[in-house]
Amino acid sequence: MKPYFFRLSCLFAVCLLFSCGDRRPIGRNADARYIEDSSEKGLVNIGKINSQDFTRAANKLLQDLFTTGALSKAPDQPAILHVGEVRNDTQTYFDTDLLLQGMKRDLLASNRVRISTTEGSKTSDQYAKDVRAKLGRGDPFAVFHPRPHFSLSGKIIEETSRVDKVTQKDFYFLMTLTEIESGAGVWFGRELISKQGRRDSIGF
Amino acid sequence: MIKYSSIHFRFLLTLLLAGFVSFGCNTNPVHQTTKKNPGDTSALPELKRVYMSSSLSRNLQVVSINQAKANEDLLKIQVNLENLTKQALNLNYKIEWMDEDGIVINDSSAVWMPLYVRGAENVAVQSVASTPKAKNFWLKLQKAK
Repeated sequence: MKPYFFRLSCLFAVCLLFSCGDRRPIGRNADARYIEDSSEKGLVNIGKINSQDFTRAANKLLQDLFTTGALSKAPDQPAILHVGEVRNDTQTYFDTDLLLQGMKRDLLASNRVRISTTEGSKTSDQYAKDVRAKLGRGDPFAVFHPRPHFSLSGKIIEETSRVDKVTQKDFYFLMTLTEIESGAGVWFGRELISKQGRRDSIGF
Repeated sequence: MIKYSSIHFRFLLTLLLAGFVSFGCNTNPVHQTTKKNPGDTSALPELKRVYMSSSLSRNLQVVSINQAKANEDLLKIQVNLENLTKQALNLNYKIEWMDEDGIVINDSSAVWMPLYVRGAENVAVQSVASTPKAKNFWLKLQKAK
């Protein structure tokens, strides 16, 4: 009986050491860990837009934009794109560049547009804008670059539904691409991210 | 009486061990599919599937992948999946784009997306590459936890 119990205990110990479940960091309280960018293991909150939601929304919106072929209709390729305001109409504060920066990177990679960082009221590079203005004033032969052909703007809306103890939050990412020459919208993108749960944190 | 309790004890321990091993090995392998020939530009390219033996490989099948061009020069794919069971499946998928040298392109599509497939349902998942450099892809599928 004793050798049998001993052998089983050894087997238990080996299984515990080499079982193929996720490894946890050593130490009782050392439960902090790094996760991949936009990992499915990231925390999910009902009440706010998480990092993976921004990436998913940016990805889906761009895929829709590319599929419509709106960017390839510009007469000059690559066309200049002005990225305008994206209004945050949700209940939580966040910088909308969390959505836009990824979109700008992929838009540039598509080779269909160049993104202006010095045009518009909310420029991302004020220094470059000032230098360009000075150069333009001092030099009568200054070459002015063509004005943007497209402008991208949008808003993010939050809707809440509750039934009994279950809450659902719908985050709508609404984007519009306007052709400046005609003043008409050439693409209207809509991406919805819905979350449902009983409490604020609904897991991984 | 002693003999009976000893057998009972051994049986319980063995059962515990089996349960422990099965829960300890609660793995969730990623199933991957890509084009067999990266230069294949046909509408229905031949696929190379990398499946680990798991419940997902028995429950879900990548039937085919259609490819086309969007925005004139961007590769667009549609993955056709089939749920081989009557049970609904909660999945995560990711599409990684690669250039002609097989280097993975770092763009916003490299994110796990949720996918719900009802019992015996066929679903189509679409993706468009963000750059004309993309020539091939890895479709990754995993059960959602």
